[in-house]
Amino acid sequence: MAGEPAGVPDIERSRDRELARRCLAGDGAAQRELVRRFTALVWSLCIRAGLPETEADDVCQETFWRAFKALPRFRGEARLSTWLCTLALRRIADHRRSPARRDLPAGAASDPDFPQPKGPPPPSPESGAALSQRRQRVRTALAGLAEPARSVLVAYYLGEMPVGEIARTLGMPEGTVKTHLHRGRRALREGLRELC
Amino acid sequence: MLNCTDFNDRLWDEDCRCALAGRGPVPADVAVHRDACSACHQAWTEAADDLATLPHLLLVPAPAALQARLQRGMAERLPPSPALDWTAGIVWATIGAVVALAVAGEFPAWIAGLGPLCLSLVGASLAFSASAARNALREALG
Repeated sequence: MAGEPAGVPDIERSRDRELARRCLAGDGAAQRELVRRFTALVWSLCIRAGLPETEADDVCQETFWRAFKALPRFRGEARLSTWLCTLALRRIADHRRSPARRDLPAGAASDPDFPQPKGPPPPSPESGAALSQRRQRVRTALAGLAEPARSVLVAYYLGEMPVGEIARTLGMPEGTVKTHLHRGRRALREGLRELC
Repeated sequence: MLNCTDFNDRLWDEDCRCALAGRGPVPADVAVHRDACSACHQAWTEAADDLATLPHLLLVPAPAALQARLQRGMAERLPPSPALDWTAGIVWATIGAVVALAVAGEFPAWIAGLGPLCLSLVGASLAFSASAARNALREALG
């Protein structure tokens, strides 16, 4: 049940297949559309997984380069967003294991020794103060979660990945993914409730 | 029939996600329990609310510079389409056939006698080989 993105309208998948085909055929507009539609998604996965902006930038680019290379193999069984999220989560996990990061702090952002971020990113022009405040609350609540709970939550809600796909990508049982989702969602709700 | 624990597990499945997002029907087993249990009815409402709001709250706008780099990089990095380019194939085959016909006079009579069709096939084969070699060379050179 959880493995397949059941219920995703066929029209969305065929639209994604068509976009991939046009990108491969060298259609510049399609290539721009692919980047425009999915950069924020991959970037958000990196940032919400707790990567600093410079590392998120690198991982985001690498994810897209790999995606471009693998695009001929995209068959449209899943949506492009799900496919890209899977690639991004793998890249994030690889990046965390890379030797260059071994000196960087590990653990949850709520740990006393964990370095705190300098501050919230500037709000986008279109977002109001309330939305900005809610985003900040979500960010704080999310930072209180340890990995892989953060990645699981972000992959499910932002990447719209099915539980089975998250489990396969992160190498954990589906039941564990659901446990992370239960706890993570509760933490986010509590964070938002404090705002009310 | 589901109990409350099963119900809360089922909320994460894709058929429930679709129903929560209003993209599909509520699965029968879930609907039966939800309508019989007020706590799970509340959990369903909260799950629908979270599904509607959390994606927006989790999304972080990407830096414009990153997007611009990706736009530029995509055009440079996309591999050539694996699909056979028939237009190029026909052009190459024609060229190959002409070359094959031109040199046919050098071949023994029994080969030249096989006819233009056979020579066209030889030409096409030569042309596709040249095209494949060119693609392999381009790939090797990055």
